[in-house]
Amino acid sequence: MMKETINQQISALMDGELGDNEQQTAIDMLIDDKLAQKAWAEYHLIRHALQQSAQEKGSLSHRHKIQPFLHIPAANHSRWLATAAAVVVVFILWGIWHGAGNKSTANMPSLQAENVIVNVEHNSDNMLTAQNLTEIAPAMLQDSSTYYQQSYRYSVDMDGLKQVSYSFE
Amino acid sequence: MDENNDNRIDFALIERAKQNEPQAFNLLFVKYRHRLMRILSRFINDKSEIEDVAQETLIKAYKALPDFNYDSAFFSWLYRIAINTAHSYFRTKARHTHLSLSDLSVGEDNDNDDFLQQRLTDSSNPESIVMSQEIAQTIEKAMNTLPEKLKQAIILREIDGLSYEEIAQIASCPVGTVRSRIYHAREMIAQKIRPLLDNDESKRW
Repeated sequence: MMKETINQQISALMDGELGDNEQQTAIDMLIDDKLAQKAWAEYHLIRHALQQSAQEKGSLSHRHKIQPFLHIPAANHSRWLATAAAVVVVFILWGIWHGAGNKSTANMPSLQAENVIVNVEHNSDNMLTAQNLTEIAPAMLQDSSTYYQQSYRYSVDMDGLKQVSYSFE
Repeated sequence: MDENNDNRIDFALIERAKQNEPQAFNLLFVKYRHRLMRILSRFINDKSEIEDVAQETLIKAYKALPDFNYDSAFFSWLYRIAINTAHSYFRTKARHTHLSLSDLSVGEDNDNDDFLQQRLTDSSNPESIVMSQEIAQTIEKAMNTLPEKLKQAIILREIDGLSYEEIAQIASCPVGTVRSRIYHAREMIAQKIRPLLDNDESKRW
């Protein structure tokens, strides 16, 4: 089979646009053919890059929604950290609450900073940062809600997070 | 992409992997590794630690594959393994511990060990794990040079997740044309990034 034909099959395969028989044939080809594997890898890399780029652009506008609510003085890191921790806790509680009965994220409401209630005591050991806040929360929303609790523990407790920093601009 | 379609392909590959075709698992790994690395990079700042966690995730997932029962999406399952692996990794501070490859086998074929060893070698370079800025920029530039119809088709497909049928309706063209446009868009972008990718294809792919 010609390379173009093979790659066109791989392209349609990764889009889920092949019928059962065609899909079976394409997978057979993919498992056996190095060129098909190369196309599979390249096309998925491109997909990831495009989606990541779109996501980052979305994340920027998302950050703009959250920052005005926080009203953080540039020098007041500890107060900001407490607020950030509180916001993440509310995200998690919100996620667990929604996750209990519904694993689908399709109908989840968009994050609204106005919904956040700060009711968690200051804990300066939790080095949560603005970067964490704006990056982890969307990740949590995108993935199955059953993982919210694990993500939260990891975010707050893990020593590794302390190396992430945020620069106030 | 429609989640059911995604599952359909993933499950078909998992089925093949369970039938002692490790290359099928490799294809799943290739499909999801960038997404997995990106998620890990949100939690872990150090590239070598991302690498370690990813490697252990890969090994654990491969080992656990016979237990995958198709009641969740493959990536959700993989994600759970990755998070648990990251958690225990830092908990124990075992930065350089790896499971023994001799303990791992989906079937009884010893070739699987070679397969895993090869995968670990493939991801040994941190630069190969997290997509480089250069590749991302090249893809973005390539997108901007695409003919408008190709660009529209691939954006509707990859960003908006529309089916070929839906794109055909928007673009007022046959489904076969959409299929061709998306393929050509991918190929044109791929041509631009190939020089940036590892020249040693047998190693990378």
